[in-house]
Amino acid sequence: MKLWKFQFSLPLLAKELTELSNRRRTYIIRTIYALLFLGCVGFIYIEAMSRLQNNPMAILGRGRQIFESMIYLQFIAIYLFLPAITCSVITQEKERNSLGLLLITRLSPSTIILEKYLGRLITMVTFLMLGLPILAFAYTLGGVSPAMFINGLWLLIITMLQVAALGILCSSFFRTTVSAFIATYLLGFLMIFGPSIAFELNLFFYGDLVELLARTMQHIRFWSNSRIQGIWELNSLLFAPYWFERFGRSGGAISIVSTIVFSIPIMISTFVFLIFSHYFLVRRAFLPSRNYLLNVFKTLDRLFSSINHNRVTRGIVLINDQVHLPDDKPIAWRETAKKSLGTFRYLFRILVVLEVPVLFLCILIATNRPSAVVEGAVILVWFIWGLSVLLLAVSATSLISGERSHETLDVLLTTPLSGKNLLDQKIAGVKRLSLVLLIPLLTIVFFESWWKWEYAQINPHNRNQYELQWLSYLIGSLLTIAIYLPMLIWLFCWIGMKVKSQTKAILSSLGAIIIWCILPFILLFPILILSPSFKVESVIYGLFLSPASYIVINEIAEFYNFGTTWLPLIVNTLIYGACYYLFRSQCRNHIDENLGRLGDQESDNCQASMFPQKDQSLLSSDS
Amino acid sequence: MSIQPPMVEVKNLWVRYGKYEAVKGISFSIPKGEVFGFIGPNGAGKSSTIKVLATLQRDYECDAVKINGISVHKAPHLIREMIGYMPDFFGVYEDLTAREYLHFFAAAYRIDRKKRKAIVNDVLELTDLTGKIDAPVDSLSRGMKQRLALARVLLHDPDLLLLDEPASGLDPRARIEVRELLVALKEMGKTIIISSHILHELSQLCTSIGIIEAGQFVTQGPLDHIYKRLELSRIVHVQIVGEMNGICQKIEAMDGVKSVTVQADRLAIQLQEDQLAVEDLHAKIAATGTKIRMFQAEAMDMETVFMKLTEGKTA
Repeated sequence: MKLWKFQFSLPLLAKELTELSNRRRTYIIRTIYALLFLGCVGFIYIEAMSRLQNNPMAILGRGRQIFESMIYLQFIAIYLFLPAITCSVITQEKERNSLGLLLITRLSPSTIILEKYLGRLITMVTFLMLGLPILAFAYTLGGVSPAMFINGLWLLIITMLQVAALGILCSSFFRTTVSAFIATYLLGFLMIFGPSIAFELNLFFYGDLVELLARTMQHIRFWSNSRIQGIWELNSLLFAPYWFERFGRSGGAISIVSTIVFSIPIMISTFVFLIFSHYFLVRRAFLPSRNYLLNVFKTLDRLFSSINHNRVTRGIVLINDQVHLPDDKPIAWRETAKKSLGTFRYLFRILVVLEVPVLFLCILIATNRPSAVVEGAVILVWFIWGLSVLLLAVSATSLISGERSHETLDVLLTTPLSGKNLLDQKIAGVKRLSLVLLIPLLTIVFFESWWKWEYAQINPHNRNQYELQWLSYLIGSLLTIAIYLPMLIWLFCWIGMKVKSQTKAILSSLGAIIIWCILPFILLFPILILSPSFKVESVIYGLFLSPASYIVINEIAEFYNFGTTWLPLIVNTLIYGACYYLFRSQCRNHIDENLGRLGDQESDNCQASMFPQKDQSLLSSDS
Repeated sequence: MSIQPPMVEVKNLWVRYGKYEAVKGISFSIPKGEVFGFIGPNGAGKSSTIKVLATLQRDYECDAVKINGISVHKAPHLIREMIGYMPDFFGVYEDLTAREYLHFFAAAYRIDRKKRKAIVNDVLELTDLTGKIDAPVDSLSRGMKQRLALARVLLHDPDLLLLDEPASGLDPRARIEVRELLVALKEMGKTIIISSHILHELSQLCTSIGIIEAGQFVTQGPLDHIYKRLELSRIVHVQIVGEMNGICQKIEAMDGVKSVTVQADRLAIQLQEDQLAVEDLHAKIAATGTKIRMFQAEAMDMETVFMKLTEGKTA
């Protein structure tokens, strides 16, 4: 009998999907996503039900609330997960040295890009389809117009296309998955919020330009007829959730037309991203290993050196940062003298780049709008915390996983250095980096403390008294910084020891910290679903299971539910102090075990061998 | 008088990765100053055994694994002082030069700071890399990297060298260079365990070999003994001036000659060396009054040994 053969005309897509379906983690992640998603929707449903005063019929017609929540959750899922899914699509091929093999097949670069793009889109669609039953449920409850339904789906689809295209572009441009990962999130952030920030600060006269554009466009009929609320809306042209908010709620064909018209920029951006991915695919297919940060610093070295050689300074060098040969701590020497994120001179530059804008913004904020909680400074603190996590994740996880990736670990492990000594030396560069990050953080904390103190003198009867408690704020912030930075270093270092590949280690570290930050909220879902009458206030200290909670609460002085500023501070310090010691001891006491070499305190298991000797080769010398 | 322990002593060693048994109860012993060739196909268990000796394998079972009489499991820190390990890959610190690379490891081996410069220069000279002292490690050719790795291994003057496939991936010239370097180390009295699946390079270097397949030794001992045990004979090619009337029969009648085959321009004589040495064969042929134009003994063919003993299995 002739067998029917299934011939797929998109081989790369077929390979991508086969690989995807063969991975166990695909199903685990999908299940976790479904549970989280259903948990969120369930939480919203229960909250809606609790307001209906035991009249189940009153839920009818309230499908809109569930529908809107579902759409926003899907938007969040796309913005959060899709960059992570797509950014590795080409870089993985580069890292495995298989992109060249693909390029010499009959597949054209555009086919490669499109098949890869489709492969990842299908992955995301499978995630989004988990929401279909909820969508149907919300629709049957009533309150969702067909226009709203179409608008929601349309905007979700084009957002998915846009974010996936951005991920593919970064993947095509960068050499490693880690750099593509960071770039995708940064560019995504700039794409969504960049225009608004530039507009507010009138960076590069962008605000003036937008106003001029808006004035010119007033004469265009569609523009003047459409319900534009202000020129600032032009800054959200690439941000689909905004247009869902604007047009999603109204019914009728006009809302559909408006949604489609205002989503044209999103489609154009998608197209541009794909064109550029295609452009870079071949041109940047075989990039040599290059440390971009180090190259930037070296260029700056050359520039400063040429500026320094003039009649006045004549090449005077105040601090000579010459690289000597290692003394007694060779690993620490390499970490601090040979790496861009460890060398004193280069770290000083990072400090200047961070500290100068921080000081400038502090002055700007202080002279702007006087209030006890300075919003700008709060955002700045969070931003620097985010940056610190990112930089520490990259450098601390690479300590061991980098040696493993470069195949230098085994050689290092056969030297007589003890495990603890090896680790202490390895961590020296990251400690320096954390000191650099410490300075801008301390600057803002001291600025905010001083500001609160000053504000308390001027306006002692502030509505929120917690906002004026500068001492608890200062001590809380200092303790958080003192504990969190080393805790993060040890945590990331531990993950780096456990995970074999450097890329996976960095991505796992970032994933772990994000999950840890949202952990209490995840834990709360099953409790709320099982017991809708459960009072969240009774487990309010459970919030501190998330390391981000205290930073947020302390910055915005939201201590109402606690009744004091000191107890949350003590609880948080105890929790994370314990975590710090746990991670530190896990790293230091189990280093040999984690690295896979014999430790100095091993028991002799040779004597305990229980295996029969009859299997021994007859030709062996002992026989 | 105390008896000196062997440099390496392995008894009933088992290495498992989950259910997979990479090494199945092998035992061997290597006296000081020997070069032991560890031969076997890929996946036979060579690297796993070497990793145990290099203290890089945590999970294994044994009756004894000792280096210089010291248990590897009991005192790994002492073992690390005694060994020089070269893995089957060469990972580079892209940011270091050859000088920095060697000084880095000299410091890691806690060599006295005052002596480091001289030692680094010595090992670079031995490995013929003095001219590349300030070249970035990443810019060196594969052969040079391999020689640099050997230089690193020699920094702390270890008693035992564990070399896992040192010549894999090298071009013929680089391979010869590495082999010559190993011969020099052998002459310096170092004990060397060298693993390879390229048989030719080991036959000229090793004093004894162990052939491992599917985690078990197929044979081990001095090369000559193995040849004898397998009754392998050496082929000697002889070209004779003039007619060969009756010469074949005369040679065939000699003790120790198994057979004589007439080829296009020469005779191929199959010789049993334990009965008749190659040089004696030459003398005996000359004594018959035959003029010899060419007399060439074929190198012992370790590939034949390998193929005869192994079945192409993996563990």
